[in-house]
Amino acid sequence: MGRGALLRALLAFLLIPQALWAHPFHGSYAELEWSQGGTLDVAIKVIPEDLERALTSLAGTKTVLRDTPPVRALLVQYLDKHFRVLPENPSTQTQIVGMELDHRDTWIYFSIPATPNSAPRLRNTVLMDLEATQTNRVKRLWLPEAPVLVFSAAEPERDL
Amino acid sequence: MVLAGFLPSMAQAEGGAAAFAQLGHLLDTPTETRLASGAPGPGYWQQRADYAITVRLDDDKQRIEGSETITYHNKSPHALSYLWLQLDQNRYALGSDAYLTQTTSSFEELTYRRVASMLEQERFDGGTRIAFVRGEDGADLPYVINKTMLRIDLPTALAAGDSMKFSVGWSHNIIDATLISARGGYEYFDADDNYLYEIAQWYPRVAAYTDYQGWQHKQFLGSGEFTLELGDFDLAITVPADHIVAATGELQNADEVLSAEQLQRFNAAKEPGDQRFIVTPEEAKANESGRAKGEKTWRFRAENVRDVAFASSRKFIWDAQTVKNGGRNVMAMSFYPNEGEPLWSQYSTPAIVHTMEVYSRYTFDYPYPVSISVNGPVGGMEYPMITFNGPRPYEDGTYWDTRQKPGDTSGRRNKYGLISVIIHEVGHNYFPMIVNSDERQWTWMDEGINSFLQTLAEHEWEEDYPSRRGEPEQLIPYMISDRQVPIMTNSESVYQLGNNAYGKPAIALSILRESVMGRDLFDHAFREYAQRWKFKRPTPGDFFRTMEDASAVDLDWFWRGWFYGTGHVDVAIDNVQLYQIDTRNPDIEKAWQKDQEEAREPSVTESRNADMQRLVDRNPALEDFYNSYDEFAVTPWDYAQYESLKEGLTERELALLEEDHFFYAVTFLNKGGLVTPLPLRITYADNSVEELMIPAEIWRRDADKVTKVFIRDREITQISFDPQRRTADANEADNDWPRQIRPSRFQLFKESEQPNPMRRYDEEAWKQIIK
Ligand SMILES: [Zn+2]
Repeated sequence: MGRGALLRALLAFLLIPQALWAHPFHGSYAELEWSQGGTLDVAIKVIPEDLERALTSLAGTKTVLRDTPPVRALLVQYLDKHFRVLPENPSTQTQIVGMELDHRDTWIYFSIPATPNSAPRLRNTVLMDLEATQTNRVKRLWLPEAPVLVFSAAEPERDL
Repeated sequence: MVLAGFLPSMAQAEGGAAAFAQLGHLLDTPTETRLASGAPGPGYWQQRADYAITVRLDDDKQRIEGSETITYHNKSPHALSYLWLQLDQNRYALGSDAYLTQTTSSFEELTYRRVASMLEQERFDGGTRIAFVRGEDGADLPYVINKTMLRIDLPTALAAGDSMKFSVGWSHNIIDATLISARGGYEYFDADDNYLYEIAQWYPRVAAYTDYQGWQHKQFLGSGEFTLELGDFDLAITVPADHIVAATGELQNADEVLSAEQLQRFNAAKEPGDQRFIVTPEEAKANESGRAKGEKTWRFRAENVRDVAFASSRKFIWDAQTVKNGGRNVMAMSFYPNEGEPLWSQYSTPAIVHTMEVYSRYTFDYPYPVSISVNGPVGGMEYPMITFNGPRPYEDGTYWDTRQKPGDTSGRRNKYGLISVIIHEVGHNYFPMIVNSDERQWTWMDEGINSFLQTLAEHEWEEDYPSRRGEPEQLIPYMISDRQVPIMTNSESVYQLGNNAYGKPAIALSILRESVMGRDLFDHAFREYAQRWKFKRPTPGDFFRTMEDASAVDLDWFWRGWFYGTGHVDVAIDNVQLYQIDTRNPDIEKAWQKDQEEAREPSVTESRNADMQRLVDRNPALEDFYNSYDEFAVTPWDYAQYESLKEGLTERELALLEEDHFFYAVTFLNKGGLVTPLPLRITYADNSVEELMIPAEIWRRDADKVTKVFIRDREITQISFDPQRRTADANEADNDWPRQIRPSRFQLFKESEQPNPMRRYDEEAWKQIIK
C-alpha cells in the first residue's frame, strides 16, 4: 500500500464518521452451485450496513448501497478481491446477476468463471477487511449433507 | 391383521437415553443460597457498593479526571482481606492483552479504516492512571494493578456483615470511538469543530464477589462485558457550561444547569403526556457555534444500579416524554445531534417507551425514573437507565419513507436499524442491568434473552417488521456450520459470538415458547425467572431450573441439546408405508386384489405384446382350466373359510374386521442430531388438512430413527414435516412425503426474469441496469 493511498483514506475517514457496533453481528452466508456454463453461481447474504461501509471504504467516498451501475462496478471490484476461487483464471471476473436489498435480508447474486474440475479452493474474506470478528458461512449445494464451511480471519481459505 | 411386524423397535436405547438424560452434574449442586427449584434461597446474599463520584470532562484534551468515595458492604458470610476493582480502560493501554491477542486475516485485504484503527491503537495513550487509593482516615491503602484489575490490600480484613469506605482518584484519556471500536469514547465533528462524548466503563469499579465463584476478576479482553455490585450513586459531572449532559439517574439540580426556558420545558415534560423538546434542533444548531467560558456541574442520583454512564456535548437536541409504567412515572429521553435528524426525533423516544411497555409485560415493572437513548459514535451499548445507539440517516437526511421511490426499501436499514438497536439496548435494562447475570462469564444470559425479547417487541411495533433474528430459519446457516462451540462457553472464547450468544439462544427460547412449552406455560415460567432474580445474580442453572420448576415441563433434553450441544435440527421423512386391515371377507378382499392388479401399469414388453397372436390362440387344444380361471372370482371354498374364521372370533374382534381404516407407518430420521418436536401437516385425498404436534419425547428411546403409525379413516395424499419452518430444520428437501422439488435461491432469482421491486417503478433505471 502506497503512502498516498493511506493518507487519502485517513482523510476520507475523518470526513465520514462511521457507526461502529459494539454488538458483534458480523457474518455472511453464501449458497454456491456449479452451473453448466462453467461458472460458480453465488447467492450471498450480507448485513447491508457492513457492505455499505466496505464499499464506502473502497470508493473513498460515501457510497449508498443501491442497485446502480456505479455500485455494481464497485461490487465487482470488491468481490474480485474478497471472494476468490483458487486457482484463479486471471482473465475473467465476477459478473453481478442482481441484488435484493432489504434491511432484513440483503442478497447479492453473482457468478465467477470456474469449474469444479481443478480441486478448487475458496478464499472468502468478505467484510473481514472491516471487522476482525467477521465470520462467513458457505453452503455447497452439491453436497447437501456436508456441513456449512466457516471462513474467518484465522481460516480465510478452504477446500470447496 | 398385519400390524404385528412393524411396531417401532424398542432397541437402540442409547441415543435416546443420552439425549434425554437429566442435566444432573452439569448444573451446580443446589445450596441454601441457590435452591434446586432455581430460586434464590434463604441463605442468599450479595455484596453492595455505594458511590459518590465527582468527575471533570476536559473538552480541550479529551480527558477525564475524577475521584470517588466507595462504601463497600460485605454482606457475604466471609471475611475479605482484599478487594478487587476493575480498570476497564486498561484494555486500551499500549501493550494490553486485548491488543496483544488481537488477530487479523491478511494485511493487504484490510480497509484503510482498519489500518487507521490499528495506527490509532499504537498512538493512543489509553488506560487509567490511579492518582491515589485512600482509606476513610485519609491514609494511603496499598494496591496492586494486574492489567485490567486492581487489588486493594486491607490493613485488617473486612469482617462478614461490615462496611468500609475508601476513595480512589484517577484520570484517563478518552478514546476516539470513530476510529477504535469501543463502548464509549468521543466523536469529533469537523464541520462545526465540536466533540460529542459517550463515557462508559470509566471509573474504577468494585468487581463482583459472589457465592458461585468468589471474585469475578477475569481480565477484560473486549468481549465479556461486565458484572458489578448494585448500589446507590451520587454523581457530579463538571463540563463546559454550554454542554448538555445525559446520565444514569435523576437530574438533581436542573435549576442550576438549565436556562429558564429549558427548565420550564423540563418541568412540563415530567408530567405524563406527549413527547416534547427540552432543547430544540434549532437551539442545538445555534449552540454548536457557541464557546461558553466557564463550567457547570450537573448532579445526578441513581439508586439500585450496577453502573453509571453519561454523555455530554453542546450539539445535543433533547426530547422527552413521561409515561406510566406499573403505576410510576418514567421519563423517556433522547439526546442526539442534528446529524441524527429527522430520524431521531421521530423514532428514538417512541422506541424507548415501546420497549419498556413490552418488556415489562414479560418481566416486571421498570423500576427506574428515567430511560435514555443517546446518539453518538458508539453503535449500540447499554448501561443502567442510559443507552448509546449509533444509526443515523444518510447525510442528505434521507431514510426509508422520506424521499425514496415507492418500492425502494434500501434505505429502510437506517430506520429499522435505529429502532432495533434502541429496543435492544433499552431492553438490556432488564437483562442484565436488573437481572444481574454475569456477562463476563455468560454472554448469552443477557444477550440471548434480550435478543429474544427484542424480537417480541419488534413484532409488536408493526406488521412484517424486518426482524433479523425473529425466525428459526434465519439461524440455519449457523446451526449447520462446522466451527461451532456450545452456547455454554465462556464469553471470551465463544466463536461466531453474534450467532452463538445472541441468535442461537434467542431462537432457542422462541422455539421453546412457540413449539415446546406453548405461550402460556413459557410466559409464566419466564416471568417467574425475571421476578425471582431481579436485582439478584442468576446463573445458567437458576434459569434452566426455574423454567422447569414453574411449568412442569422436563426441559433437560432441550437445554442439553441447544445449550450444551452443537447439533442441529434436520428431520427427514424417510419412508411412508400404507397398511390396511385384511377383512378376510372374500367379496371385499378379492375385489380389492383385482383393483390392485388392474391398476398396475403394464411393463413395456407387456404393452408392446398386447396385440400379439399367441400359440394358444391358434391352437385351442393347448388350453386347460387354468387358461380361463379367474383368480379373483370368489369361490364357495372362500366363503367357507371366511365363515369358519368368523366363528372363532369374539364380537369385538369381528367389529375390528369391519372397520375401514388406513394405517400409515411413517419413519422419521434425525439427521442433525438435535432432538425436536415434530410439527406435522397431513393432507387428505379430500383436500382437508390436519395439523399435529408430536412432542420431542418421541425420540426418548431412539434419537436417530422412529416409526410412528397414524390410523386414519381417509386416504392421506401428503405428509409434511414443519411446513411453518418453526424448528430451524436445516434441509427442507426431505421434509415431505411425497418429495417436493425446491429450486435454489440463485435459480429462483435468475429464472424470475422480472426486475426486482425497487426497479419496477422506473423503466429507464431497470432497462439500463439489467441489460
Ligand atoms: Zn446486547
